[in-house]
Amino acid sequence: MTSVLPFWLAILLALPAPAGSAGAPADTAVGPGTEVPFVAQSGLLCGGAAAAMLERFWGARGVYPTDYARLVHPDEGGIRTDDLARALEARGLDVTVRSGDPSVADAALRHGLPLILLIGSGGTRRHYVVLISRSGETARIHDPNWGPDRPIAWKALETSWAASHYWALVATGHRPAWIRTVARSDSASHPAVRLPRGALSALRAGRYGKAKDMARDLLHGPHRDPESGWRLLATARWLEGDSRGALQAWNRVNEPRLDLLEIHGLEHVRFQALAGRVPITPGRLVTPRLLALTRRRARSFPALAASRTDYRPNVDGTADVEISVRERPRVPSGPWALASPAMQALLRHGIRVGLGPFTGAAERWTLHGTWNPASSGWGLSLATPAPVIEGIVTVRGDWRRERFRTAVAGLTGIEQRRRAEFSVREWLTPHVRATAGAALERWSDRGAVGSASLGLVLATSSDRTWLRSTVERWAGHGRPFGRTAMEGRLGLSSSEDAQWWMRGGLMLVDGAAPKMLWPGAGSGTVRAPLLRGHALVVDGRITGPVFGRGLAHATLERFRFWRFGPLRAGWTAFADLAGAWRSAAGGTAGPYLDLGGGLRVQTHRQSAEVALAHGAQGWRWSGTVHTGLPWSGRR
Amino acid sequence: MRRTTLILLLFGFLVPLSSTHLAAQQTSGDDGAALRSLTARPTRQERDRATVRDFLKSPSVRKTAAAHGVDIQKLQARVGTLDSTDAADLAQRIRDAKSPAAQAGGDTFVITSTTVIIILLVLILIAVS
Repeated sequence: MTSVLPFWLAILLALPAPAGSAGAPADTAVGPGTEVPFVAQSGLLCGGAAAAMLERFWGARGVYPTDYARLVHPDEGGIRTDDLARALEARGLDVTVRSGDPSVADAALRHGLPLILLIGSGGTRRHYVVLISRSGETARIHDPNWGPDRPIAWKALETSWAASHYWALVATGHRPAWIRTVARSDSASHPAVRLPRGALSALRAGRYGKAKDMARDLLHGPHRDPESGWRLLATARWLEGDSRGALQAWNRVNEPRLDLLEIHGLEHVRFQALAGRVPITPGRLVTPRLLALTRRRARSFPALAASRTDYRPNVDGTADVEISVRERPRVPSGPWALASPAMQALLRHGIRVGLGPFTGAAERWTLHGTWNPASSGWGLSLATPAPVIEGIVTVRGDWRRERFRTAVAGLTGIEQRRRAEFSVREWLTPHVRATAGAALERWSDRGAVGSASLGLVLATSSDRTWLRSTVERWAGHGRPFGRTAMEGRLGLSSSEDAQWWMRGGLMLVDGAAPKMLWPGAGSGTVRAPLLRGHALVVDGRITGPVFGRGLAHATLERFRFWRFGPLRAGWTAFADLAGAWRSAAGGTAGPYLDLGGGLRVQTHRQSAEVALAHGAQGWRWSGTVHTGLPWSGRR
Repeated sequence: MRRTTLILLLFGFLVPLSSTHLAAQQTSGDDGAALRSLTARPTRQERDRATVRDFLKSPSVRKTAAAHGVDIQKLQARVGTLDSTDAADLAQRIRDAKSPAAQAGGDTFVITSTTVIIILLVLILIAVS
C-alpha cells in the first residue's frame, strides 16, 4: 500500500525498542485500553470490525463491520491487508502499515495508539485483532470474534502474530475535532432547536425545574414548538438524573437511535452470546421498554451473577447502551463462595453448586442434592441460551424420593421418580415471562409417563410484586393427572429500613396425582408455602395437617432491618394462614393461623432466616434459606 | 383612501415589530448542538462510580486490600455492576473519608475507613451474588 506518513508517526514507529527492554513495566499498563470502543464481527468481517474500532477511537460514530463487507474475499476467508489499509485511508484516517518488526507494538502503545494486528488462527487462517494495552508480560486485545479487553500472554500473542510476519496497522485521526457521523438513522439531520432565553443557562446552573417549566411552555403554551420543547425537557430530565423520563421525552422526537452496544466485564462468555440475546440492535430507537427488556434478558442470563443496563446519549442524537456484567465463578472457591452452600446444608439439608461457563456460550451447570429424610434426591441441570430459538434452554435430569404417612390410618409410603426435562423460558416483555417444558418420567408405582407444562410470570420492574401461574399435565401408564398452581406476592410498602409484603397462592392436583406432587404448608423446607407453627415433616415423613390435593395459603410479613452495604439484617413479624382440602388426614384441614417472628439476613437475592412461630401444635422453631426469586430457577 | 392606506402601513409596521418582540424571547440561532453537548457531562451515577474507581487506584488502598488478600483488579473490573444506591453509598463514604475533618483524625481513622469501604466492596462485588 502507499501512504504518506505523518512525520511524527514515522519517527515514532521507526524508533527501535530499547535494548533489553521487556516491554511495558509489569505494574503499569501502556496503551489506550478500553478507550478504544469494541465492535464485534459478523461473518468473515474481523477486519471490518477492527477497522471500525479504530475509526470509532478517532471519533467516528455509526461505523460497523458491514461497512467493509464489499472487501471480503470469501474464498480467502476475509479482507486482504492492503484492501483494509486503503479503505481506512479512504475514510479519512492517516494509515501506517508495518511488518517484520514486533517492536512497533510497544512504540505505538507508549503513545496511546491502538494497533490492528493480523495473527494466526490455526492452520493457514489469519485473524485481525486490536491491541489496546500491555502491562509487563500481559497484553490486552479487543478480539472481534470473542469480546473486548481480553488478556493474553505477550509471548503467546507474539507467537501467533509471527504467523503474519508481524503485520500491524496504526491509524491516526484528529480527535476530538474529527467527529464524523455516518447516518444510519434520520437522527443525523436535526431540525432547528430554538430555546427560550435563559434555558441553557438554567440547565448549566442546575436549575432543572425552571428549564422544565420552559419546556412545558414550549409544549403547551401559546408559542408551541414541540420539537424544541421535548428536547429541552429531555435534557433537563437527563441532567437531573431521571434517565427514564429523559428517554421518554427524546422518544417523542424519534431519538435516540442505538449507535453502539457496549458490554463490560465479560471474562469467559463471548460478547455475541449476550449481544445476540438482547433485543437491541444498531439503528433501533432506544425506548424505556426496549431498555427494560434488555435489562431483563441480561439478568436472566445463566452465567451472570449481576448485570446493570444503562444508556448514554451522544451529541449526535444517537445513544450507546452499556451492559456491565459480573460472571459467576466457574468453580466456587474461597470462604465467600462456600458460605451460602454451607448455610443451605445446615438449614435445608440440601446443597446446590453452580459450575461454568466452560465454553463461551455462557452455559451454567448446576448440581443439586437434598438429604432430608422425608424428601431426598439429586440432579444435574444445564441452562444455556438457546442456539436457534430465543430464550434460555434448561435440560435437567433428577432423581427424587419422598416418604409419606397418612394421618387417618397411619399408613406409610414411599414414592420415587426419575425425570428428564427440557424447558425454554424467555421474557417476552419487561413484565411477562413465558415458560414451556416437556419431561419423561418413571415413577416407582406407575411406570413411565410423559408430561408437558406451561407457565407464565407477571412481574413489576422491581420484582417486589409478581404473579406466577403454572399448568402441568401427565399422561402414560395409568390415569392421566395434572397440577395447577397460582401464586403471587404483593409488595405493600418499602422504605429505607422496613418492608411490608403479602404472599399467597392456590394449588390443586387431580385425584390420581402422586403425593410427590401434592402441595403442603410448613417451614418451607420440603414444600414452599409457609405455615411456620406447624410441622409438615414428622419422624422423617411428610404428614402435616396441611397437606392435600388442594391448598390455599397466605403470609403477611413485616421485615424491619438495618443495612450494612448490600446486607440487610433485622427482625421479622409474620402471620401465616393455610388450609388444605382432600388432605392426607381426609377431608378439609384448617385454615390455620400461625403467628411468629424471627431474625433474618438478606441480600439482593438470598436470605437466611431463623423463626419462632406459634400454631395449633404450640411453639416451633424453623430455619429457611432462599436463593433467588421462586420463579427464577435458582431457588 | 388615504386613511385606509395609513392604517395598512401602520399595521404592516406593527406586525413585524410584534414578531420581533416575540422572537426576542427566544434565541435566534439553532440551540440544538449546545443542548446536546450538555448531555456529555457525567451524570451523578457516573461520578459516583468514578469516585469508587479512583479510590481503588490509590496506592494506600491497594496496599490495604493486598494486606487483606483482596484482588483489587477484580473489584475494579466489577464496579460497573454497582447499582445506583450502592454506588452512591460507597462514593459518599469515600468522600467522607477524604474530607478534611476525617483527615484531621490522623492516619488511623483513614486506614479504618479504607478498610470498611473495602469490606463493603467485597461484600457487594464478590461475596454477594
